[in-house]
Amino acid sequence: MQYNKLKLINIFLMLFILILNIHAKNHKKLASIDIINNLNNSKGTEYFFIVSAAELPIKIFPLNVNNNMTAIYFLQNRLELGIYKDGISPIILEKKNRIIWQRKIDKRLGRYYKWKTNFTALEWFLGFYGTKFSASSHIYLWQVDDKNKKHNFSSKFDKKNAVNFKIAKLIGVKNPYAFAFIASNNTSKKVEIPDFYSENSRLKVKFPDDSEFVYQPKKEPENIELATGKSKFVKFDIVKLLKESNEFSEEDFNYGISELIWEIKLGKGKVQKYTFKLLKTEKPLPKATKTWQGYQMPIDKVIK
Amino acid sequence: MKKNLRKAGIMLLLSCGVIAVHGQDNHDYTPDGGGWNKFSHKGGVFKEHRYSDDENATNTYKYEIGTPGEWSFIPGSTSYSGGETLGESTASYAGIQKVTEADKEPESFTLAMSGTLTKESSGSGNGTRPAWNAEAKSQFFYIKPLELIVPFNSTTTKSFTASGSSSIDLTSDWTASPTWSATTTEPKLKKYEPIKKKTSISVGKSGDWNPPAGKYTVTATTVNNDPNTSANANLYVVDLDLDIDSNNTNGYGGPDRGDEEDSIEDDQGKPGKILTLNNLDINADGVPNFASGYDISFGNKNQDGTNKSAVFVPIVLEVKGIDADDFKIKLTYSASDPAGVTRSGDGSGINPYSYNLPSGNLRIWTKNGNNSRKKASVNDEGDFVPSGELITFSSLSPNNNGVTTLYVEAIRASSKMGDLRILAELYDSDGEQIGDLEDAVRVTVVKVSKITPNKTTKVIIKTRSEDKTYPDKEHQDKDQQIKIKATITPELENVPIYFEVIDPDDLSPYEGKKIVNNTTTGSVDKKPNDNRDPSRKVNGTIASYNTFQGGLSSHEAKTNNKGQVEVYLTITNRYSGDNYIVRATCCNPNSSPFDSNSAAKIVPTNQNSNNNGVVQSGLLVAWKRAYIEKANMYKKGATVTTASTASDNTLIVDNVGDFSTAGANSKVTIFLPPNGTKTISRTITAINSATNTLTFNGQHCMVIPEYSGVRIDGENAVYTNNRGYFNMAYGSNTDGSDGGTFIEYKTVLSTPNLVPKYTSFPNDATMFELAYAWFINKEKDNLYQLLAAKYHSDSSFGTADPVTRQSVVTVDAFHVFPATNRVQCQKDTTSHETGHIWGLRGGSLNSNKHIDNRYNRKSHCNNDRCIMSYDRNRTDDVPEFCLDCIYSIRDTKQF
Repeated sequence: MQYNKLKLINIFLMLFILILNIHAKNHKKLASIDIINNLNNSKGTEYFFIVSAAELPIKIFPLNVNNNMTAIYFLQNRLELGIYKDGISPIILEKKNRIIWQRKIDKRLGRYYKWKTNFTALEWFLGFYGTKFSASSHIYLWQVDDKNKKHNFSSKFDKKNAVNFKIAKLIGVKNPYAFAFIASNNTSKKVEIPDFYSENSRLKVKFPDDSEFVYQPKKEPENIELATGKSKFVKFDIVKLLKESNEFSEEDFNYGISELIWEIKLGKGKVQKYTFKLLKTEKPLPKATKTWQGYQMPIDKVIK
Repeated sequence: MKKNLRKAGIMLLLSCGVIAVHGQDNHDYTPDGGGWNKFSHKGGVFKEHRYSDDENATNTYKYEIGTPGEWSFIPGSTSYSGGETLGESTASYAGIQKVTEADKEPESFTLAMSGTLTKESSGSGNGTRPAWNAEAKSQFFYIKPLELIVPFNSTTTKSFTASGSSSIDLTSDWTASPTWSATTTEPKLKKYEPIKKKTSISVGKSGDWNPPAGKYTVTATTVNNDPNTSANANLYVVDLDLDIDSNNTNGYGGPDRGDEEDSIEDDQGKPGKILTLNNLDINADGVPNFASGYDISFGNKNQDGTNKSAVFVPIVLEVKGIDADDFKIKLTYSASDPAGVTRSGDGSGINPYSYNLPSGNLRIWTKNGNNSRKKASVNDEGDFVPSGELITFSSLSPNNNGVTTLYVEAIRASSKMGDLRILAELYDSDGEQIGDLEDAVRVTVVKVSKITPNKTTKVIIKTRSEDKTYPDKEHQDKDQQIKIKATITPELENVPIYFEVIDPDDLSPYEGKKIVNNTTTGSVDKKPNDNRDPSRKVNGTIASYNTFQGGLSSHEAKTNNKGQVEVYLTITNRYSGDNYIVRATCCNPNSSPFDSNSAAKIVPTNQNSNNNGVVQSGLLVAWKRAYIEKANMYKKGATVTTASTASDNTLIVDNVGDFSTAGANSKVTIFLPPNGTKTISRTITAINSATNTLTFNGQHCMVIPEYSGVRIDGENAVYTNNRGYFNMAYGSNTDGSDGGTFIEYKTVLSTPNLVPKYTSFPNDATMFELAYAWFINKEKDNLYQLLAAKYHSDSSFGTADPVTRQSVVTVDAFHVFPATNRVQCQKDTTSHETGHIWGLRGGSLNSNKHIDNRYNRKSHCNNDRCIMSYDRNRTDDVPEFCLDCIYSIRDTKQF
């Protein structure tokens, strides 16, 4: 009797796990989203927001309307870059299509807004219309201000009691290739992390043609100490690093989506990868990318 | 003023046993002295005699007459004068005399006898039997009392008189106090009278007379000071003193027993001791203090035990100068029999227990309130001192100095100051009052009679600096704070009032409660401690209760000369719908919750108790107030889309259609943002539809900025918004019983700002830039712009920007609905857009449990059509929020 009960419970448990899996798969199949930096914009504040549908058509609101909202986090304060509209119909993104919006993230409703902190995060939250599913993504932005020597790299997205690694796009430097790696110790004790550009902390760039640039001038694995609550960072210009290699140059970004990758090996061979997507186009993308409807194209068609 | 009445002299003649032997009529005496003198018995002189307080009592005196020498006396005959013979003489005594009515006793009487003397021995007279006559003359005197017990007061002297057959001298031994005085009256000298006699004496004097309590003696002697001839009258000075802390300097402590208290203790014009109702429930078991701590049972549960009641106020009774067993005390006061408390109700939330008191205002106990007591009278071995009953003083357990402490419990308030008198009177053991000996104190039982606001009241969390108006002007003149006024009766000054704040049940129907009216029975949802502000919430612990009390400016304050106190309650700074009740009592709760209704701990099921007289405010409900700047777009005209210089006479506008219809030469007014007060009147001279350019009959003479307007004179119709659903969506009933979000709206402009017509907004940026240009109070806290516009090219009904706090309803978009539903739809959208201003994001994904009793429909129950949902039915007349949205709005900061 007891055994039968256990058996029954087990069956229910398995069924439950199965349902969860199906849900998760369906969710995954709905769409993916990407925030991609526009390398054509020297200021570093223009981005592409791309939704790629999978096997089913999906309904979404226009970017920065209702549940399809981008927001800037000044520390914990959230500034939504969009508005809420009643009575508009959702956009239908056909299956295996992508929709691209191109937006300047330092403006909302045509007006620049006050940049409250130097270090910010840009979040994109997309709730799929008519379902309970949603997707979100975020990137970090660092408006370099040499006058301010104190940096606060904390963010709403930080993991608690952990070392947080971030790739931040430097903005306001008139260099689309300026980035920074930032490591912050949010634990209660001093930690050691791999030094930047060492064997265990490499910079990689994956270009549109799948070629890969690895930057690791320090040959040996080196560690640096990071006290509680402290951060260490390194700013870099990708193009300068490329030039050091004598193999790669800015031209390698022509044209398509590249990835800036920070690959960190921590203890026991565990590798963590942080990615920042970049897009350089030969010509400006269609004007529709700047409209509320966005520009739709098949996912198998390369964006150039 | 010290009451002299409490002192009494008890004059007792000859024996202090007078009281103890009351009722014994006959007493025998053997006269002392005497002897033979020339065959004449000299007679006895009474050196003392017994007196009964019954002046009509019969007293009997017996003579014994001895014979001289060895002679024997054979009685022959006896005769008496001045008295009544009771019987014949015998060999052993000569006779007796009975006198009736003591005060009529003769001053002297004579016993005459005749008989034969015999002698056994030889001698000249041996064997002879001489006849013998003897006569005994008794002198008798006594001190006549005026009264048995003589109360002395400040203006009365009392006299003692002595009378007798001999010359009498009266003396007294009162020397203990300088305030004693005694004067003797010299009788008139009679002729041949050898010595002056003092036969009367007065004690006492005019003015305060305060002899120490005790026994004093008045002595009458014959003038020759024969030690065998004296009589005493005892004077007992009895001190009866009843004291309480009449000057209210000791709180729940005993009296100082000084002159300051005595002088006011029975002053009708003063409150005397101020007592407070014992109506709290210190152990929060649902049974109030006045029904706890003694052997009374409710529901078979005996309520006796220690520490179940607040302490009482001591009252001290002192009787000196007389043995405690020898007299009785009577206390007369407005007593309430502790055995008479009854309970009604069933303890449910809807019909809580009420503990009903019998008549009377006070109880006097032999034990303090924190002790376990017996409700029976002290005459029946209980601890309650009843009113009007004679109580042997010794049963009140006085100490060796005749002092006992009793305790006064107040259970019903006075009707006026000093109206409750506690009178102590002294009685002898036979129940006869000892003179007019009495002492009294006065007390006033105060209670909080009123606390305001006493109605359900909105307390506004935040207003604009330009608007400091509040729904209850009398009690609120500052954001987030409400004044609580408490008044006591009788209206006395300097009386402490204690306050507590509690978190009563949220009456919103969406809380899942069953609404029960006052007359129906059944379960009731009584969920105190449901405030949402974590910093102002009680979670059933004393610690959280204490933190919650921090909202009060003071927990104790003393009344002014009108018997009033004001304290302030600071409410939540953001959580609308949180509610509060402030309670007040004069009884010191000693920093503890008042009772089970304080909700500092969970009351057992079916043990709910009513407030038992603890007065409480009305429901104080936190409401958000938001301000709306209304803006209405003209239905005719156009918006300037490109700024123009002062020297120019043309304007590029969004659309020239209306002017084309009106035609050239139509008169127009150019009006400038943000409020349209700057205007230019012109006539249109040319219209270019291709470039949307208007040409006027003159230069502008001022710079015309973008988003200025051009209106056609005489065409003043505007688009308007309809907030007809706001009450349903955001709440109307102060207590939340209509299921709202506890937000009220107020417009900031006396008339809506009039905005130029924009025929169709091409995009959101243009729409909000125009709206922003005409937003007079832009970027002001707690205020948003609600613009009724024409149309947006995306056909949307409304758009909101929570960041700039603007919402635009595009009225013409509702033409997609049937004409009969357009107003409904617009009202619906207006509420929806305002929801966005409160930060609501695109509708809740959770199921909706919101039930609105006001409309008695379940349209929101598990079938979400929250007004924030984009799939909602705009024509269903249910413009309400789902629970998630409601709580989000209630919990959010004021924008």
